[in-house]
Amino acid sequence: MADRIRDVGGGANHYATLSAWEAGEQGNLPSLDERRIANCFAFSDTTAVVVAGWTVDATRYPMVTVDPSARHGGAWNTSAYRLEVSGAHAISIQQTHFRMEYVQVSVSESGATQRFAVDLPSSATMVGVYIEKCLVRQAPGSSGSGNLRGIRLGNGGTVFVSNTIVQGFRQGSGSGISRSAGTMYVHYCGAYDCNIGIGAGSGPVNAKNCWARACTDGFQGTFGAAGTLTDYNISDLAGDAPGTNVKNSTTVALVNPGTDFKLQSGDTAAKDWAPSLSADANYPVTDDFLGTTRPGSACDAGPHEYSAPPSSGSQVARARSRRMGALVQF
Amino acid sequence: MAELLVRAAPAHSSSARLLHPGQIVYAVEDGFNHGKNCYFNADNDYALYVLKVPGVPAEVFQKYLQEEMDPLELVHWNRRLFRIVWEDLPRSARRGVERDGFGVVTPAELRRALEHIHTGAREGV
Repeated sequence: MADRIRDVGGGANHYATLSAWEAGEQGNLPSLDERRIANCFAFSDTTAVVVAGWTVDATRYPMVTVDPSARHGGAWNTSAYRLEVSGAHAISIQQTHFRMEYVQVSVSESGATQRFAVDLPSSATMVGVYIEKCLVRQAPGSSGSGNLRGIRLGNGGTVFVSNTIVQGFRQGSGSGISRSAGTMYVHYCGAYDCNIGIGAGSGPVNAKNCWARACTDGFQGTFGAAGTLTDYNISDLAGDAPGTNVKNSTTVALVNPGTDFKLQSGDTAAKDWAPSLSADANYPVTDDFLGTTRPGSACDAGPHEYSAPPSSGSQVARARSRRMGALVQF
Repeated sequence: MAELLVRAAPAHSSSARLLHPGQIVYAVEDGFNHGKNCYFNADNDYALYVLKVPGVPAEVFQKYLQEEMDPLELVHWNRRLFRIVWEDLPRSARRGVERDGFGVVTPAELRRALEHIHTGAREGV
Protein backbone atom coordinates (compact mmCIF):
# COMPACT_ATOMS: atom_id res chain seq x y z
CA MET A 1 0.00 0.00 0.00
CA ALA A 2 1.23 3.49 -0.83
CA ASP A 3 0.58 6.87 0.75
CA ARG A 4 -0.29 9.54 -1.81
CA ILE A 5 0.50 12.85 -0.10
CA ARG A 6 -0.60 16.13 -1.64
CA ASP A 7 0.15 19.59 -0.26
CA VAL A 8 -2.59 22.08 0.53
CA GLY A 9 -1.95 25.81 0.71
CA GLY A 10 1.83 25.63 0.54
CA GLY A 11 4.74 23.32 -0.15
CA ALA A 12 4.17 22.02 -3.66
CA ASN A 13 0.74 23.73 -3.56
CA HIS A 14 -1.22 20.96 -5.19
CA TYR A 15 -4.46 22.41 -3.85
CA ALA A 16 -5.39 25.77 -2.39
CA THR A 17 -8.09 24.48 -0.06
CA LEU A 18 -8.92 21.28 1.75
CA SER A 19 -12.24 21.14 -0.09
CA ALA A 20 -10.40 21.13 -3.42
CA TRP A 21 -8.15 18.32 -2.19
CA GLU A 22 -11.23 16.30 -1.23
CA ALA A 23 -12.80 16.91 -4.64
CA GLY A 24 -9.65 16.18 -6.58
CA GLU A 25 -8.45 13.12 -4.73
CA GLN A 26 -11.70 11.25 -4.05
CA GLY A 27 -11.90 7.76 -5.45
CA ASN A 28 -11.78 4.03 -4.81
CA LEU A 29 -8.81 3.69 -2.47
CA PRO A 30 -8.85 -0.12 -1.99
CA SER A 31 -8.74 -0.45 -5.76
CA LEU A 32 -5.87 2.02 -5.95
CA ASP A 33 -4.31 0.39 -2.87
CA GLU A 34 -3.60 3.84 -1.39
CA ARG A 35 -4.14 6.06 1.56
CA ARG A 36 -4.65 9.63 0.33
CA ILE A 37 -3.27 12.29 2.63
CA ALA A 38 -3.74 16.06 2.62
CA ASN A 39 -0.69 17.78 4.08
CA CYS A 40 -1.84 21.27 5.04
CA PHE A 41 0.34 24.36 5.38
CA ALA A 42 -0.20 27.60 7.28
CA PHE A 43 -3.17 29.62 6.06
CA SER A 44 -6.79 30.37 6.86
CA ASP A 45 -8.92 27.94 4.87
CA THR A 46 -12.44 29.37 4.77
CA THR A 47 -14.14 26.89 2.44
CA ALA A 48 -16.38 24.30 4.09
CA VAL A 49 -15.35 20.69 3.52
CA VAL A 50 -17.57 17.69 2.88
CA VAL A 51 -16.00 14.24 2.92
CA ALA A 52 -18.38 11.80 1.27
CA GLY A 53 -18.65 9.05 -1.27
CA TRP A 54 -15.09 7.71 -1.19
CA THR A 55 -14.64 3.96 -1.41
CA VAL A 56 -12.46 2.98 1.55
CA ASP A 57 -11.59 0.21 3.95
CA ALA A 58 -9.90 0.00 7.33
CA THR A 59 -6.39 0.52 5.96
CA ARG A 60 -6.97 2.57 2.80
CA TYR A 61 -8.72 5.81 3.64
CA PRO A 62 -8.43 9.60 3.27
CA MET A 63 -6.54 11.47 5.97
CA VAL A 64 -5.89 15.13 6.77
CA THR A 65 -2.72 16.11 8.57
CA VAL A 66 -0.78 19.33 9.01
CA ASP A 67 2.80 19.82 7.95
CA PRO A 68 5.14 19.99 10.97
CA SER A 69 5.90 23.61 10.01
CA ALA A 70 2.25 24.58 10.37
CA ARG A 71 1.01 22.82 13.52
CA HIS A 72 -0.76 24.60 16.37
CA GLY A 73 1.73 23.91 19.15
CA GLY A 74 -0.95 23.66 21.81
CA ALA A 75 -2.30 27.18 21.38
CA TRP A 76 -4.60 28.65 18.72
CA ASN A 77 -2.04 29.79 16.22
CA THR A 78 -2.66 32.16 13.32
CA SER A 79 0.70 31.13 11.88
CA ALA A 80 -0.58 27.57 11.52
CA TYR A 81 -3.20 25.85 9.39
CA ARG A 82 -6.77 26.86 10.32
CA LEU A 83 -10.06 25.65 8.87
CA GLU A 84 -12.22 28.71 9.69
CA VAL A 85 -15.73 28.52 8.28
CA SER A 86 -18.73 30.80 8.69
CA GLY A 87 -22.32 29.84 7.98
CA ALA A 88 -21.73 26.13 7.38
CA HIS A 89 -20.37 23.09 9.16
CA ALA A 90 -16.61 23.53 8.89
CA ILE A 91 -16.05 19.87 7.99
CA SER A 92 -18.77 17.31 7.50
CA ILE A 93 -17.58 13.72 7.51
CA GLN A 94 -20.30 11.68 5.86
CA GLN A 95 -18.63 8.33 5.47
CA THR A 96 -16.60 5.65 7.20
CA HIS A 97 -12.81 5.48 7.65
CA PHE A 98 -11.43 8.99 7.79
CA ARG A 99 -8.73 10.51 9.98
CA MET A 100 -7.86 14.08 10.84
CA GLU A 101 -5.02 15.32 13.04
CA TYR A 102 -3.36 18.58 14.12
CA VAL A 103 -6.11 20.68 12.50
CA GLN A 104 -7.40 23.90 14.03
CA VAL A 105 -11.11 24.19 13.29
CA SER A 106 -13.41 27.10 14.03
CA VAL A 107 -17.04 27.69 13.14
CA SER A 108 -19.32 30.71 13.33
CA GLU A 109 -22.96 31.40 12.50
CA SER A 110 -24.68 34.76 12.30
CA GLY A 111 -28.22 33.38 12.01
CA ALA A 112 -30.36 30.83 13.76
CA THR A 113 -29.05 27.68 12.05
CA GLN A 114 -27.25 25.06 14.08
CA ARG A 115 -23.63 24.56 12.98
CA PHE A 116 -20.88 22.14 13.90
CA ALA A 117 -17.14 22.53 13.60
CA VAL A 118 -16.79 18.79 12.97
CA ASP A 119 -20.04 17.27 11.76
CA LEU A 120 -20.49 13.51 11.95
CA PRO A 121 -24.01 13.59 10.62
CA SER A 122 -27.19 11.66 10.50
CA SER A 123 -26.66 10.52 6.94
CA ALA A 124 -23.78 8.19 7.75
CA THR A 125 -22.98 5.56 10.29
CA MET A 126 -19.51 6.21 11.56
CA VAL A 127 -16.89 3.50 11.54
CA GLY A 128 -13.17 4.11 11.76
CA VAL A 129 -13.37 7.89 12.11
CA TYR A 130 -10.58 9.45 14.19
CA ILE A 131 -10.23 13.11 15.25
CA GLU A 132 -6.87 13.58 16.96
CA LYS A 133 -4.63 16.39 18.23
CA CYS A 134 -7.01 19.10 17.03
CA LEU A 135 -8.00 22.49 18.45
CA VAL A 136 -11.71 23.08 17.88
CA ARG A 137 -13.42 26.30 18.82
CA GLN A 138 -16.36 28.62 18.34
CA ALA A 139 -15.00 31.57 16.40
CA PRO A 140 -14.66 34.63 18.60
CA GLY A 141 -17.29 37.16 17.57
CA SER A 142 -19.83 34.64 16.29
CA SER A 143 -23.05 36.51 16.91
CA GLY A 144 -26.00 34.37 15.84
CA SER A 145 -28.52 32.42 17.83
CA GLY A 146 -28.03 28.98 16.24
CA ASN A 147 -26.47 26.33 18.43
CA LEU A 148 -22.75 25.92 17.80
CA ARG A 149 -21.15 22.60 18.59
CA GLY A 150 -17.60 21.39 18.34
CA ILE A 151 -17.48 17.70 17.47
CA ARG A 152 -20.93 16.23 17.04
CA LEU A 153 -21.87 12.59 16.38
CA GLY A 154 -25.39 12.48 14.98
CA ASN A 155 -26.62 9.02 14.17
CA GLY A 156 -24.79 5.98 15.31
CA GLY A 157 -21.51 4.24 14.81
CA THR A 158 -18.34 4.75 16.79
CA VAL A 159 -16.03 7.75 16.65
CA PHE A 160 -12.65 8.14 18.32
CA VAL A 161 -11.45 11.52 19.60
CA SER A 162 -8.18 12.09 21.42
CA ASN A 163 -5.74 14.81 22.45
CA THR A 164 -8.19 17.47 21.32
CA ILE A 165 -9.30 20.77 22.85
CA VAL A 166 -12.81 22.11 22.42
CA GLN A 167 -13.20 25.75 23.37
CA GLY A 168 -15.76 28.52 23.61
CA PHE A 169 -18.93 26.77 22.47
CA ARG A 170 -21.39 29.15 24.10
CA GLN A 171 -23.70 30.18 21.27
CA GLY A 172 -27.22 28.78 21.74
CA SER A 173 -26.99 25.54 23.64
CA GLY A 174 -23.38 25.16 22.56
CA SER A 175 -21.38 22.06 23.40
CA GLY A 176 -17.80 20.97 22.85
CA ILE A 177 -17.92 17.24 22.18
CA SER A 178 -21.35 15.69 21.99
CA ARG A 179 -23.45 12.90 20.58
CA SER A 180 -27.12 12.23 19.95
CA ALA A 181 -26.64 8.60 18.91
CA GLY A 182 -23.76 6.16 18.68
CA THR A 183 -20.66 5.74 20.78
CA MET A 184 -17.70 8.03 21.26
CA TYR A 185 -14.35 7.23 22.78
CA VAL A 186 -12.87 10.46 24.12
CA HIS A 187 -9.36 10.09 25.48
CA TYR A 188 -6.99 12.78 26.76
CA CYS A 189 -9.25 15.68 25.74
CA GLY A 190 -9.89 19.08 27.27
CA ALA A 191 -13.02 21.22 27.26
CA TYR A 192 -12.72 24.91 28.04
CA ASP A 193 -15.39 27.60 28.37
CA CYS A 194 -18.35 25.70 26.89
CA ASN A 195 -21.99 25.48 27.99
CA ILE A 196 -21.45 21.71 27.95
CA GLY A 197 -17.89 20.50 27.70
CA ILE A 198 -18.30 16.81 26.91
CA GLY A 199 -21.95 15.89 26.46
CA ALA A 200 -22.92 12.25 26.41
CA GLY A 201 -26.69 12.75 26.25
CA SER A 202 -28.30 9.35 26.75
CA GLY A 203 -24.88 7.86 26.19
CA PRO A 204 -22.52 6.39 25.97
CA VAL A 205 -19.48 8.54 25.72
CA ASN A 206 -16.45 6.72 27.07
CA ALA A 207 -14.19 9.41 28.47
CA LYS A 208 -10.79 8.72 29.95
CA ASN A 209 -8.05 11.07 31.12
CA CYS A 210 -9.98 14.22 30.21
CA TRP A 211 -10.49 17.55 31.90
CA ALA A 212 -13.09 20.30 31.79
CA ARG A 213 -12.49 23.84 32.93
CA ALA A 214 -14.65 26.99 32.98
CA CYS A 215 -17.66 25.17 31.50
CA THR A 216 -21.22 25.54 32.78
CA ASP A 217 -21.46 21.74 32.78
CA GLY A 218 -18.14 20.00 32.18
CA PHE A 219 -19.37 16.43 31.76
CA GLN A 220 -23.07 15.97 30.98
CA GLY A 221 -25.18 12.86 30.45
CA THR A 222 -24.58 9.13 30.59
CA PHE A 223 -20.99 7.98 30.30
CA GLY A 224 -19.61 4.48 29.80
CA ALA A 225 -18.97 2.12 32.69
CA ALA A 226 -17.06 3.85 35.46
CA GLY A 227 -13.64 2.41 36.04
CA THR A 228 -13.45 0.47 32.79
CA LEU A 229 -14.69 2.72 29.99
CA THR A 230 -14.78 6.05 31.79
CA ASP A 231 -12.21 7.10 34.35
CA TYR A 232 -9.57 9.59 35.49
CA ASN A 233 -11.45 12.74 34.56
CA ILE A 234 -11.08 16.17 36.15
CA SER A 235 -13.54 19.03 36.48
CA ASP A 236 -13.40 22.37 38.23
CA LEU A 237 -17.06 21.88 39.14
CA ALA A 238 -18.37 19.90 42.10
CA GLY A 239 -19.79 16.43 41.43
CA ASP A 240 -19.18 16.64 37.71
CA ALA A 241 -16.41 14.36 36.45
CA PRO A 242 -17.53 10.80 35.57
CA GLY A 243 -15.59 7.67 36.50
CA THR A 244 -14.29 5.85 39.55
CA ASN A 245 -11.09 7.81 39.97
CA VAL A 246 -11.99 11.45 39.47
CA LYS A 247 -11.11 14.91 40.67
CA ASN A 248 -13.91 17.40 41.14
CA SER A 249 -13.67 21.06 42.14
CA THR A 250 -10.13 20.86 40.80
CA THR A 251 -8.76 23.31 38.26
CA VAL A 252 -6.15 22.22 35.76
CA ALA A 253 -3.39 24.84 35.56
CA LEU A 254 -2.82 25.93 31.97
CA VAL A 255 -0.06 28.11 30.54
CA ASN A 256 -2.59 30.71 29.41
CA PRO A 257 -6.21 29.67 29.92
CA GLY A 258 -8.22 30.22 26.77
CA THR A 259 -5.24 30.71 24.50
CA ASP A 260 -2.49 28.23 25.41
CA PHE A 261 -3.65 24.83 26.57
CA LYS A 262 -0.35 23.34 27.59
CA LEU A 263 0.02 22.46 31.26
CA GLN A 264 1.85 24.80 33.58
CA SER A 265 4.96 23.41 35.20
CA GLY A 266 3.32 23.91 38.59
CA ASP A 267 0.12 22.03 37.80
CA THR A 268 -0.82 19.54 40.49
CA ALA A 269 -4.19 18.44 39.08
CA ALA A 270 -3.42 16.69 35.81
CA LYS A 271 0.31 15.99 35.87
CA ASP A 272 1.31 12.36 36.35
CA TRP A 273 -2.14 11.47 37.65
CA ALA A 274 -3.66 9.30 34.94
CA PRO A 275 -2.74 5.80 33.77
CA SER A 276 -1.30 5.26 30.32
CA LEU A 277 -3.81 4.45 27.60
CA SER A 278 -1.19 3.01 25.30
CA ALA A 279 -2.65 -0.46 25.73
CA ASP A 280 -6.30 0.53 26.03
CA ALA A 281 -8.42 -2.30 24.64
CA ASN A 282 -10.78 -0.03 22.75
CA TYR A 283 -8.72 2.99 21.77
CA PRO A 284 -5.01 2.99 22.51
CA VAL A 285 -3.34 6.41 22.47
CA THR A 286 0.41 6.77 22.84
CA ASP A 287 1.18 10.49 22.41
CA ASP A 288 -0.12 13.99 23.15
CA PHE A 289 -1.39 16.91 21.07
CA LEU A 290 2.13 17.96 20.18
CA GLY A 291 3.01 14.46 19.04
CA THR A 292 5.16 13.84 22.12
CA THR A 293 5.24 10.22 23.23
CA ARG A 294 3.65 9.70 26.63
CA PRO A 295 5.31 7.64 29.34
CA GLY A 296 4.28 4.08 30.06
CA SER A 297 2.60 5.06 33.33
CA ALA A 298 1.69 8.16 35.33
CA CYS A 299 0.53 10.19 32.34
CA ASP A 300 -0.90 13.69 32.42
CA ALA A 301 -4.67 14.01 31.98
CA GLY A 302 -5.77 16.10 29.04
CA PRO A 303 -4.13 16.71 25.68
CA HIS A 304 -0.74 17.83 26.92
CA GLU A 305 2.00 15.66 28.40
CA TYR A 306 4.16 18.10 30.30
CA SER A 307 7.90 17.73 29.98
CA ALA A 308 10.28 20.06 31.73
CA PRO A 309 12.63 22.00 29.48
CA PRO A 310 16.25 20.94 29.92
CA SER A 311 17.87 22.87 32.72
CA SER A 312 20.62 25.30 31.83
CA GLY A 313 22.97 23.27 34.01
CA SER A 314 22.44 20.09 32.03
CA GLN A 315 22.72 22.04 28.76
CA VAL A 316 26.06 23.44 29.89
CA ALA A 317 27.25 19.98 30.89
CA ARG A 318 26.26 18.52 27.52
CA ALA A 319 27.93 21.36 25.61
CA ARG A 320 31.08 20.97 27.69
CA SER A 321 31.15 17.23 27.13
CA ARG A 322 30.74 17.75 23.37
CA ARG A 323 33.64 20.21 23.31
CA MET A 324 35.84 17.85 25.26
CA GLY A 325 34.89 14.98 22.97
CA ALA A 326 36.19 11.53 23.67
CA LEU A 327 38.73 12.65 26.21
CA VAL A 328 36.16 12.77 28.98
CA GLN A 329 33.97 9.88 30.06
CA PHE A 330 30.85 10.71 32.11
CA MET B 1 -15.15 37.61 -12.64
CA ALA B 2 -15.97 34.35 -10.94
CA GLU B 3 -13.84 31.27 -11.16
CA LEU B 4 -15.39 27.84 -10.77
CA LEU B 5 -13.56 24.68 -9.76
CA VAL B 6 -15.27 21.81 -11.55
CA ARG B 7 -14.93 18.04 -11.19
CA ALA B 8 -13.88 16.67 -14.57
CA ALA B 9 -13.20 12.95 -14.40
CA PRO B 10 -15.28 10.22 -12.77
CA ALA B 11 -13.90 9.14 -9.41
CA HIS B 12 -13.88 5.38 -10.05
CA SER B 13 -16.88 4.89 -7.79
CA SER B 14 -20.60 5.11 -8.34
CA SER B 15 -21.55 6.75 -5.06
CA ALA B 16 -24.01 9.59 -5.43
CA ARG B 17 -22.19 11.32 -2.62
CA LEU B 18 -19.10 11.87 -4.75
CA LEU B 19 -18.69 14.90 -6.92
CA HIS B 20 -19.50 13.72 -10.41
CA PRO B 21 -18.21 15.13 -13.68
CA GLY B 22 -19.49 18.63 -14.26
CA GLN B 23 -20.37 19.34 -10.64
CA ILE B 24 -18.93 22.52 -9.16
CA VAL B 25 -16.62 22.20 -6.15
CA TYR B 26 -16.54 25.89 -5.28
CA ALA B 27 -16.96 29.35 -6.74
CA VAL B 28 -14.49 32.10 -5.92
CA GLU B 29 -13.69 35.59 -7.12
CA ASP B 30 -11.19 36.22 -9.86
CA GLY B 31 -7.52 35.86 -9.04
CA PHE B 32 -7.84 32.98 -6.60
CA ASN B 33 -4.73 30.81 -6.44
CA HIS B 34 -6.26 27.38 -6.93
CA GLY B 35 -3.18 25.20 -6.69
CA LYS B 36 -1.69 23.26 -9.58
CA ASN B 37 -3.85 20.15 -9.27
CA CYS B 38 -6.98 22.23 -9.70
CA TYR B 39 -5.98 22.87 -13.27
CA PHE B 40 -6.56 19.98 -15.68
CA ASN B 41 -3.42 17.85 -15.34
CA ALA B 42 -2.12 14.32 -15.10
CA ASP B 43 -1.10 14.26 -11.43
CA ASN B 44 -4.66 13.62 -10.34
CA ASP B 45 -5.87 11.92 -13.53
CA TYR B 46 -7.36 15.13 -14.91
CA ALA B 47 -9.86 15.22 -12.05
CA LEU B 48 -10.53 18.96 -12.00
CA TYR B 49 -10.56 22.06 -14.16
CA VAL B 50 -11.11 25.77 -13.66
CA LEU B 51 -13.78 27.69 -15.55
CA LYS B 52 -13.55 31.49 -15.59
CA VAL B 53 -16.77 33.47 -16.02
CA PRO B 54 -16.14 37.18 -16.59
CA GLY B 55 -18.56 39.71 -15.21
CA VAL B 56 -20.36 37.52 -12.69
CA PRO B 57 -19.77 37.67 -8.93
CA ALA B 58 -18.99 34.35 -7.28
CA GLU B 59 -22.00 34.51 -4.98
CA VAL B 60 -24.30 34.00 -7.99
CA PHE B 61 -23.13 30.40 -8.14
CA GLN B 62 -24.31 29.44 -4.67
CA LYS B 63 -27.42 27.98 -6.30
CA TYR B 64 -25.27 25.46 -8.18
CA LEU B 65 -23.54 24.33 -5.00
CA GLN B 66 -26.80 23.10 -3.48
CA GLU B 67 -26.95 19.56 -2.20
CA GLU B 68 -29.87 17.28 -2.79
CA MET B 69 -31.49 16.32 0.52
CA ASP B 70 -34.38 14.02 1.24
CA PRO B 71 -37.70 15.77 1.91
CA LEU B 72 -37.17 15.78 5.66
CA GLU B 73 -33.57 16.84 5.22
CA LEU B 74 -32.41 13.88 7.23
CA VAL B 75 -30.31 12.29 4.51
CA HIS B 76 -27.90 13.79 2.00
CA TRP B 77 -28.40 12.38 -1.46
CA ASN B 78 -26.38 14.00 -4.20
CA ARG B 79 -23.51 16.37 -3.55
CA ARG B 80 -24.80 18.87 -6.15
CA LEU B 81 -28.15 19.40 -7.86
CA PHE B 82 -26.60 20.78 -11.04
CA ARG B 83 -23.81 19.81 -13.39
CA ILE B 84 -22.02 21.39 -16.31
CA VAL B 85 -22.35 19.31 -19.47
CA TRP B 86 -18.84 19.23 -20.92
CA GLU B 87 -19.95 18.64 -24.49
CA ASP B 88 -22.15 21.73 -24.36
CA LEU B 89 -19.39 24.10 -23.35
CA PRO B 90 -18.05 26.16 -26.26
CA ARG B 91 -15.23 24.53 -28.15
CA SER B 92 -12.89 27.39 -27.22
CA ALA B 93 -13.48 26.75 -23.50
CA ARG B 94 -12.92 23.01 -23.86
CA ARG B 95 -9.77 23.61 -25.84
CA GLY B 96 -8.57 26.02 -23.16
CA VAL B 97 -9.12 23.44 -20.44
CA GLU B 98 -7.26 20.76 -22.35
CA ARG B 99 -4.39 23.07 -23.30
CA ASP B 100 -4.03 25.39 -20.27
CA GLY B 101 -5.99 23.67 -17.50
CA PHE B 102 -8.72 26.33 -17.52
CA GLY B 103 -11.35 27.69 -19.87
CA VAL B 104 -13.24 30.96 -20.23
CA VAL B 105 -16.98 31.19 -20.90
CA THR B 106 -19.58 33.93 -21.01
CA PRO B 107 -22.51 33.74 -18.57
CA ALA B 108 -24.84 32.83 -21.43
CA GLU B 109 -22.56 30.04 -22.64
CA LEU B 110 -22.37 28.62 -19.15
CA ARG B 111 -26.13 28.76 -18.63
CA ARG B 112 -26.66 26.70 -21.77
CA ALA B 113 -24.37 23.99 -20.34
CA LEU B 114 -25.78 23.96 -16.78
CA GLU B 115 -28.19 21.09 -16.27
CA HIS B 116 -30.39 19.99 -13.37
CA ILE B 117 -29.29 16.44 -12.61
CA HIS B 118 -32.82 15.03 -12.40
CA THR B 119 -35.03 17.08 -14.68
CA GLY B 120 -32.40 17.65 -17.34
CA ALA B 121 -33.60 21.23 -17.59
CA ARG B 122 -31.00 23.68 -18.81
CA GLU B 123 -30.58 26.96 -17.04
CA GLY B 124 -30.23 28.81 -20.32
CA VAL B 125 -33.27 27.40 -22.11
